[in-house]
Amino acid sequence: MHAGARFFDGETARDHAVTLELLPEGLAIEGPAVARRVWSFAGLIAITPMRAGYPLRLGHDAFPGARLVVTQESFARQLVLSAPHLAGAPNLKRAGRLAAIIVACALFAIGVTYGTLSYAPQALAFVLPESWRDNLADQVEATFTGNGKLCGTSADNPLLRILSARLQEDNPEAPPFELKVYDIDILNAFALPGGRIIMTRKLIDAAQAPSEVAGVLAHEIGHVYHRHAEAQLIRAMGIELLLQVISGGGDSISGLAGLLAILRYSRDAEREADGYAQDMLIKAAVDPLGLKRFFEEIKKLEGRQGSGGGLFGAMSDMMSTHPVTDERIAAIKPLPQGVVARPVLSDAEWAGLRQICE
Amino acid sequence: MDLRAVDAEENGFGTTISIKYIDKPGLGRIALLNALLFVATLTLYRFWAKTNVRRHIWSCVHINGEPLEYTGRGRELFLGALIVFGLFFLPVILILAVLRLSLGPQHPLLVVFNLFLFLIFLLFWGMALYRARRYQLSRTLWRGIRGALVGSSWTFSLLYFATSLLSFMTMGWSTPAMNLNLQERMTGDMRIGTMPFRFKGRAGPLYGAYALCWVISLVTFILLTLLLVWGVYSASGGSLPTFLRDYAKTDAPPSQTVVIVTLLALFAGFMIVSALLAMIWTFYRAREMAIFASYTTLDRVRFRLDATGASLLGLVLGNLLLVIFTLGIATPFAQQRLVRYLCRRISIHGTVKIDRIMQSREPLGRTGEGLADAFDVGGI
Repeated sequence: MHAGARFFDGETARDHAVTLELLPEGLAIEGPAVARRVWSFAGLIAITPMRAGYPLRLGHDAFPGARLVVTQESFARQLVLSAPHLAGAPNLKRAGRLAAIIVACALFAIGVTYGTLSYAPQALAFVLPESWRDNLADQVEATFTGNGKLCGTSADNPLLRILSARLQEDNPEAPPFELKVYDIDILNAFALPGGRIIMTRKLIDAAQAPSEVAGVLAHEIGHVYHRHAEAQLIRAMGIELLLQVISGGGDSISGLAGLLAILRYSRDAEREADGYAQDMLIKAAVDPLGLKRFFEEIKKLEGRQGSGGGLFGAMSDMMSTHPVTDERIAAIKPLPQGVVARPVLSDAEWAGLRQICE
Repeated sequence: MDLRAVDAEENGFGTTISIKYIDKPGLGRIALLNALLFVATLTLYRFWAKTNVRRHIWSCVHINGEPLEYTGRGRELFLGALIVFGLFFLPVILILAVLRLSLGPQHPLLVVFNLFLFLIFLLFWGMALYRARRYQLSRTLWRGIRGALVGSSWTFSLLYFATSLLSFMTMGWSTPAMNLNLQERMTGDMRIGTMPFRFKGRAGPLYGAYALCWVISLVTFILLTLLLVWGVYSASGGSLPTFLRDYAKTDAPPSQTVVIVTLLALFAGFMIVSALLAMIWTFYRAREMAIFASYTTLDRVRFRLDATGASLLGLVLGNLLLVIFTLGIATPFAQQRLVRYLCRRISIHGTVKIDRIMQSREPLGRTGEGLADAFDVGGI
C-alpha cells in the first residue's frame, strides 16, 4: 500500500514530500529529495496519540528529530495494524510496572518517615544544648500564655518552692524544673522544654487537696524527665520540614496546628509520665490517690461538658492534651503498705496556694 | 499524490512564516485530572501536570502548518526541583532553624541573615528565569528541530541583579533601559536549531509610556492616601488632631475597635493601591511587549505584536477571574488564553531560508527548571 506524506529529516527544517510504502519489515520512505529508508515498526513512536480527523505524526527511536506526517487516514489505519502500539492503547504491562514502582516508593517513604519521626526526635531531645531548650521554652511559653497574668514561679514564690521541694524529697534523680502558675482561662498543666512546667489557676481551683496538685506536678516532672516536650517540638519541626520538601519550600503549618501537635503527647508518653509520677510520689511519701482522684474529677468534668468548642475548645481542656482513660486511672496504685503519707502542704500553705493569683 | 513541498520558495528569497493557534479538544480533561492528582499527591504531581498542559498548548501552536512539539518530561522537572531543594532550600531552612534555636527569635543577627538571604534570592532569580527558558526551548521542537538558549545563566543573573538594584536606586527610571538590556541578552541567545534570533533597538521609545504610567501611579497613590486620611478623619468625627493625639498616647492604649478599623482601612487601602498600580502598569507592559517584538528579527523576518494596554488588561483580568472562581482548576485555560493572545496578535513579515535552520547541537540538560519551580517563575 502506498501513500503520500510529509517528512522532516531532523537535520534541517525543510519539509519533504515523500511516498510511503508498507513492507513486511517496516515502513519505507522515499521522495524526490529523500533517499529511500525503512523505519522498523517496533521503533515507531506516535508523537500525539492517533485521533480521527488529525494527521498521524510519527517519530522513530533510531532517528531523533526526524518526523513523518501521515495525512491519509486509510493508510494510517493500515499502518496501525502492523504497529498496534501507535493506536495509543494503554500499555497494561508498563502501567502495571509503573504503579508497582510508585506504590513501593510511597510505602518506603512512609515507612522511613514514620520510623524517623517516631524515634529520632526522642533521641535528639537529649542532645539539645541548654540554651536552645530555653529559647524554645521562651517561644512556646509566650505563644501559649499570651497576655495571661503570671501569678508566681518556684524561683521566687515561697509556696511554689515548698511544693516543688516537697516532691524532690528522696528523689535525687529528679530533673531540675521551674514551676510557673498562670492566670489564664483554661484548666491545664503542661511541661515545656527546658524543664519549665506551666500550671493554670483553674487547675489549682479544681483540686480538692494539695496531694492532687502534687500528683499533677509529678506527672509533668515525668514529662520533663523524659524530655517529651523537646521531642514533640523536634517532631513538629520535622513534619514542617517534610511539608516544605513536598511543596517545594512553600507554606508551613500554622502555629496553632503546630502547638496542638506539640502538646498532644502519645499514649506511650502519657504512660511514661504516669509511671514516673507514681515512683516519685511513693519515694516522696505523697499519696498517689490524689492524682487518681484528680484524674477522675477531670474525666467527670469533661464528660459533662462534652467535646466541642472547636480548635480553641479542644486546646483548652485537659482531656485533649492529656487524654485521661480508665486504663490510666486504674494504673495508679496507692502507697505500698508500711509507707505513711506525709502531708504535702500545711493547711495555711494550701490556703495560700489557692489564693496565689489574687 | 501530492509530492510538492509545502513551503514554496519565493524566487530564492526564502519562505514566509505564519503562526496560528488551532484549538483542539482535551484541555478540560487535562485540567480536571491535574487538579485531582495535584491534591491527591500533596502538590507533588505539579511537575507532571505542568508537562501535560505544555504538551497540549504547544501542539496547538502551528507554524507554517506544523505544530510545535513539547518533549519535556515531568520526571525532569521533578528531579530539577529535588536538586534545588537539596542544594539551596534545605541548607537555608536548616541554618535558619539552628540560628533561631540557638540565638532566640529576636536576635539582630537574624535580621542580617534574612537581608543576606533576600539578596541571594534576588541574585538567583534571574538565573531561574534564564534556566527555565533554556529548558523550555530545548524541549520545544518544530519540524523536529530543537530550540536552544546558548548563553550563560550567570551573566544573565548578574545583569538581572544589577537591574533590580538600579531600579530601586533610580525610583524605577532605569527600568526601561535595563529591561531592554535583559531582553537583548535573552533574545540574542535564543536559537531555532542553529538559526539565531537578533534583537536591536533603543530604549527611547519605551520612555513615553513609562513616564505616563509613573506619573499616573504617583498621582493615584497620593490621591488614595489623601482619601484614606480623609476617611479616617471623618470616621473619627472630624477631630483628626484629637484622634491622632489619643492614638499616640502611651498610657491609654487605643480601643480595640479603633485598632481594627485602622488595620482594615490600611489593608483595604493597600489592596486597592496594589490592584490599581498593577492595572496602570499593564499599559506599559503592553507597550514594552510590542516594542520588543518590533526590535526582534530572525533571518529576514520581522515581528509585529499588536499588544494594546486595554486588550492585555482584559486578558489579565479575565485570567485572574478564571483562576480565582475555579479555585485554580482552570489555570491551564488561562495559560492557553495567554498563548492564543500572543499567536493571534503577532504578525510576521519577510522570509526565512528554511534550509538554514539546522538541528541544534546544544547539549540537552537532564533536569529542568528547579529554581524556577521553587520561585514560581517558570511561566506556563
